[in-house]
Amino acid sequence: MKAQQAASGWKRQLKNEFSAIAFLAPFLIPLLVFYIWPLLRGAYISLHSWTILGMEKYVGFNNYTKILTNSDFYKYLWNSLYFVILVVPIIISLGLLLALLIHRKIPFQTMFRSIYFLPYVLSVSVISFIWLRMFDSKHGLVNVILETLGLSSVHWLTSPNAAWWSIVIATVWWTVGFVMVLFLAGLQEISQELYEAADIDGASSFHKFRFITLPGLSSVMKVQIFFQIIAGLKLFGQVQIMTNGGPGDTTNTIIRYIYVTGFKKDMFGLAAAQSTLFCIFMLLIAAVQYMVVNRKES
Amino acid sequence: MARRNRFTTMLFLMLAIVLIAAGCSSKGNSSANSGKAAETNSGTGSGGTSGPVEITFWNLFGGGEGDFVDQIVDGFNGSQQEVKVKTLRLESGEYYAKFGTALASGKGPDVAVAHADRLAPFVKAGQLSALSELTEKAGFDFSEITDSNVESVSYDGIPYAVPIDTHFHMFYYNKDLLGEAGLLNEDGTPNFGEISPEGFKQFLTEIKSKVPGITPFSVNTPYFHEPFYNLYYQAGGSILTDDLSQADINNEKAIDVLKFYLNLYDQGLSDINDKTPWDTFHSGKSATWFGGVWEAGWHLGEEGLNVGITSIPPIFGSETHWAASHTLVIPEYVTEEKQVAAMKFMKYFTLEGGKIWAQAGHVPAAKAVTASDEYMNLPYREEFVASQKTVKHAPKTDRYNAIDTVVKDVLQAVIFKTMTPEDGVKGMEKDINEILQN
Amino acid sequence: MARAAIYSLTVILAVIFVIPLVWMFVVSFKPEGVSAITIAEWTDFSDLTIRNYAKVLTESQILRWTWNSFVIGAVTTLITVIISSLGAFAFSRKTFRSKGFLFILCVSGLLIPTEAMLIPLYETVLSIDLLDNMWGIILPSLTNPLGLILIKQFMDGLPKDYMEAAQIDGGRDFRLWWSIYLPLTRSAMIAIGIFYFIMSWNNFIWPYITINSEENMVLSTGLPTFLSNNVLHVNTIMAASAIAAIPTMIVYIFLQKHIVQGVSMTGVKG
Repeated sequence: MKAQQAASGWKRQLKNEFSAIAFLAPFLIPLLVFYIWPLLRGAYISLHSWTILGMEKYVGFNNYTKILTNSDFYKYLWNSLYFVILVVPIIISLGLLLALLIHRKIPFQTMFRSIYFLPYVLSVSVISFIWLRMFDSKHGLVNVILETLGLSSVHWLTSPNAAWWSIVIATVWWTVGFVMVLFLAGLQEISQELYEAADIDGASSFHKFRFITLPGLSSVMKVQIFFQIIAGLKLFGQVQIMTNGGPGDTTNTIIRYIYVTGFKKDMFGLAAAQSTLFCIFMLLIAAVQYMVVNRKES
Repeated sequence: MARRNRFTTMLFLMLAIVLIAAGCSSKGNSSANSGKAAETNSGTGSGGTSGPVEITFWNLFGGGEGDFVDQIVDGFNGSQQEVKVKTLRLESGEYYAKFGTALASGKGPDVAVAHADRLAPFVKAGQLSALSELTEKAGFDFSEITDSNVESVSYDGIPYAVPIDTHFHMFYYNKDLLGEAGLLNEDGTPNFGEISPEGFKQFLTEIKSKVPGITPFSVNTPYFHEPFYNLYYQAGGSILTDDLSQADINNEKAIDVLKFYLNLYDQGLSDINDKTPWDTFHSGKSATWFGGVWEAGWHLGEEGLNVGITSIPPIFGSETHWAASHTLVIPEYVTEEKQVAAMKFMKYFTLEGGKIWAQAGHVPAAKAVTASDEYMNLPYREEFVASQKTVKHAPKTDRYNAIDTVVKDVLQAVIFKTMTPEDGVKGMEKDINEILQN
Repeated sequence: MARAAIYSLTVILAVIFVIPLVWMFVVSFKPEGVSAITIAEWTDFSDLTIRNYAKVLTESQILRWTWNSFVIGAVTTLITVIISSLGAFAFSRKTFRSKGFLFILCVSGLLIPTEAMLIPLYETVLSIDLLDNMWGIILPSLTNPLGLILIKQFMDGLPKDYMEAAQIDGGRDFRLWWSIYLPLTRSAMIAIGIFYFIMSWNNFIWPYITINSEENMVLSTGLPTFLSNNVLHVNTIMAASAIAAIPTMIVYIFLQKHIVQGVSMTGVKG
């Protein structure tokens, strides 16, 4: 009797397990084939000399020593980080500013929201081409405007510092609307009563912003910073189209570095090792963020 | 509840519609492609009755050259009914990345342009069709092509490509601007003065002082490796040692040439911010330019632009200068029917198209074309033929793709001063040696 | 006073935001070589032409690429929404032993973006012969677990009554999902669907590497291929960009409310 019960319980459990996995299978199968498998495969490839045609020979950790003893990897990793450092604060604060501007009841509120968000629905190649032309030294609108204002024109795409700013400006213009919309949603969740209470206490606008708005947005803010850092580290399209990594290699990013090593130099093994190192780096970033977020909460 | 059900029904209806749409477009794709579906189709459709064989032709020619290619393709499509060529033009900077992946995946062109110096790795990997048998089927004979060109595409005596040209740079100058600067001889050739790095700088400085508002010398900054090779080869340099086992680029000659160019930029004799120097010269805003022979038709044909062409002066000593050669190849994965069709196109391109191609300025590979009066009567072709005698091709290594990428990247870093010339050549040496050992 | 200042700031920023787009349209209607950088050029309506548009439409397959982008986006969106909902149902409403492990496995997909796995992913797709194929783009993008996580959170918030007596029978589970949970999570699914569609529409590097033939290209990769041959033709570039921008701009204007809601939901809850 007891044994039978146990057996049927065990059977039931197994059946339950399978039915749950059946629901998950359509998601798990692509995940295994196109995520887990490539991750492992990448680690394997990285230990070999490998071309687009396949394996040539086992080289152990040679690819890794080659990468880590060459300054290029650090340089391009830094470039990607540098972009993050430039773009994230701007995009977050400008996004917040735009959200605050149109959160108030103002004429044409929806129209403004549409305008700020509009660039986000364009494809990366469209925005890159628009800004490629905008930043053209001779026939670009940006320099013309600068000159009209009595400022000196800038070689946007061919001088190292300005090239980064060109990409930052294009990126901010493109995606800040996305950040703004999220902040708007966050603002709507802050209880109006808090502001009313503050008004009774005679709090200044700045105080209300500092002690009600900002804390109310903190969870949106954290998610956004996380999103934007990852997005910044993935930078490729704008650079590929607007500067091709140049001038020189100043705007070459880590993703473009992997692309060039793998597909232009046909050194898959080396590129896979770069990928693996970059994956580890991404995991580290995620861990740091997790720790920072948790510490703030406790 | 009714609303909910309507939602799920709608959702699946949409899914069904989209999947059908997807099915349609992927069907369209595979028939347009060189895929397997097309193979069986044309196999059963048996020769010629079901319309022309359509082949896809990849090339990397932009701007002026591209127009000549279009003329040749149109000419071919109009000249017969059996084969129809469709052109896909790719960005030259990414061309070999795309071509390499296409060959590896078996999905891509039926016939493609490739530089002779890029063939080695593809031949070694067995990704290109050997052409010996195909030539007979298309009635083509390699003896119609200049011997040195045939040799450049042959591996163990077997040709893997049909050469179409040799191309290199010439010294282009704007006669009006040089005239204004008082640097034109009576016969319309430039008066260089002393031919040396300093002498050439002097020549450019003279232009700068006499004709303000223009760039004395346009340098091909976006493709800086080409002007670099020209002067580096003049100085007697090489990329690799003769046995192709090691880099030979970390030397004074390379550093001198780089410093020379950096100096031109610094002194305002050339404009580093010019992303389209060929256009600057073409629109009369610069006085001199190392331009490709392929630009001859474009510049000379421009009304109001008074251009002269001569060999690049031996600024760094010798007359040796950079050259490359375009060829046409058929990937190995292409079906036999399409291979024959592609071979017919290649034959047409080099023999008939060669005449049009010659107008662009490339020195055609077909013997009959270069020997014709029609060719020699084109302007400056005697200079081209003379200049062709001192060219130097890239080393014939199957790692050329990677080496070329390294050289291009480092040179860009040097001219934009994120690296010193000394560090640059040292870095190139290290990277190239790593590539060769791999 | 302060109000007016803030309002004018709003207006000025809006003007700065639209200038590049307006310029794109102005230049696209100008004859070749006119880069429309002076006020006189902007306000001169006598030389407007649609030649650039005609050129783009005849010389490139831009409509085909738009269609491909649309199909890939739609298929990706629908499949992800459905498989995410199925997976979310299992995580939210079923108890099973491997739940914790599998959930971590799924969520791990958030940590490493496709871009960081280019080489092995390329090798994988090559080995199953999906290069130069729309499925080679769709399948790898199904692994993003964001939708699953969001729908799970949404389902967690629903009352549990529906689950009673339905724990064991697999067939009934499916009916339950289909007729109760799927409709109930409608708003979340629309929001996520829109988000996925935008992501797919903007996907660049992966189609850039895997698609070789012109017919199979998507908008984001076909455009650079076409335009690299027209570097000097400013007006052609702008006309092509405009053609590429118009469909999404129209869709955005009509579905604005849903799109904004969709985006805000994915961000706030994620």
